[in-house]
Amino acid sequence: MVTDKELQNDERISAYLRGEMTADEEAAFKKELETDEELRSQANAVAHLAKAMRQVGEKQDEDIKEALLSSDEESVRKIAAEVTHKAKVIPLRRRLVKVVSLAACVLLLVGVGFQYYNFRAVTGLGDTYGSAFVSEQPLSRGAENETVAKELTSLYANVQNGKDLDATIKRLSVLWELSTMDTFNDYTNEAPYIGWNLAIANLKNNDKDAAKEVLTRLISKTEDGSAVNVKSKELLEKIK
Amino acid sequence: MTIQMPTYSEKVLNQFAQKEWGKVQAFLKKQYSLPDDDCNDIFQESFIILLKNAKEGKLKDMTSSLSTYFLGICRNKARELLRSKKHSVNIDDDYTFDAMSDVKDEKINNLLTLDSAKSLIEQKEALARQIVHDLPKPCNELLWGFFRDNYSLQTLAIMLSKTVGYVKVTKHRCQEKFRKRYGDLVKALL
Repeated sequence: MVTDKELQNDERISAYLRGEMTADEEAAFKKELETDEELRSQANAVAHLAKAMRQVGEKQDEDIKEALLSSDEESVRKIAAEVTHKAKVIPLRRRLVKVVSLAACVLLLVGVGFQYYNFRAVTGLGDTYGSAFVSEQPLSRGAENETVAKELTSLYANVQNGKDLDATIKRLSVLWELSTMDTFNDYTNEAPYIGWNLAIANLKNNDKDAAKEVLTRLISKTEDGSAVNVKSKELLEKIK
Repeated sequence: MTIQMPTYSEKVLNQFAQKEWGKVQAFLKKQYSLPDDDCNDIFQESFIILLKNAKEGKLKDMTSSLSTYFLGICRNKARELLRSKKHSVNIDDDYTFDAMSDVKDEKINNLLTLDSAKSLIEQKEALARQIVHDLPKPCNELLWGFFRDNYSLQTLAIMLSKTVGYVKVTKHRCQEKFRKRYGDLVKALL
């Protein structure tokens, strides 16, 4: 049961965050934060929530703006029409025609749908496992070579977002070979993550066989029981 | 048979359009009593305007979220349509849309200093981002709408076809779920 006090606290936290409190209200609120542990915990959690939404939201908006810039009017018109189409009101006299057309579409979709199911089953695994090692990737690891770290971060981001998959796979494949060479180089320490991302990229690109090949090699190259090794085995099992 | 797979841009725009359509439709119907056909037309035209504005560089310095900006375009189109049909648009009835003030960075940071455990800040932020990424319905609509798009509780109630009371209580419950989940993950991290 939500109490009035909890709702009032919500309103006060929100008003504080938006700078909508008077000086007196703000002073009283800050004073209460010092003594009321529950309010402090509630306010702190909301601040984390608001900050995370700001960060994630800005990134998502940038992706959409980029997508708009690389699209033309025709494709955007098509997308908008498809999205709104479901709810479009169909006059009675056209409904019969629609029903007949729909029946034909169902037959067609059964065929297409089966292929799409397979596609989703494979790419869906890429989506599910894609973020497994996000926090351990170069941004937080402080790689020695900044250029290498920059490139890898960008490639991993492409994998995460399913962006430029063909080019990303091509480059990751080269780096995967480099990283697994016997001689130590800039990519050696990154090998598990390069391999993992390459496998995920292949899955997202609906290339099951390529993903299996990378995972098999990744398993043989990583220590038994390590996080990447365990996840790779798990994923390989699911693909099979 | 070959299947034409959508490009990355198409996928991104499709997701955005799908997310916006429900909100826009509910808003236009409730706020302006528009029929489905008009809602469809307004949405489609607004999407093209959004594209044109992006190409003209008008989205570069925007301060609001893209969702709020897009709803603003839809609202203007609706008002244009009503004017052309000689309906009087009562501006006073439109108050619910007015987005609230933005959440201020400085205030967020003040509240973040209340954190009892000040270590591992980056990891904790990553955890919070992960949670907001995966919010279930209706928390995703409510919390994103309130904290990112800066919609008032009244506007959210219209968009979700619920009462303001429901929105207020559900938003609180969603925040509490976030607090618990975040707390559990941080505990596991420390």
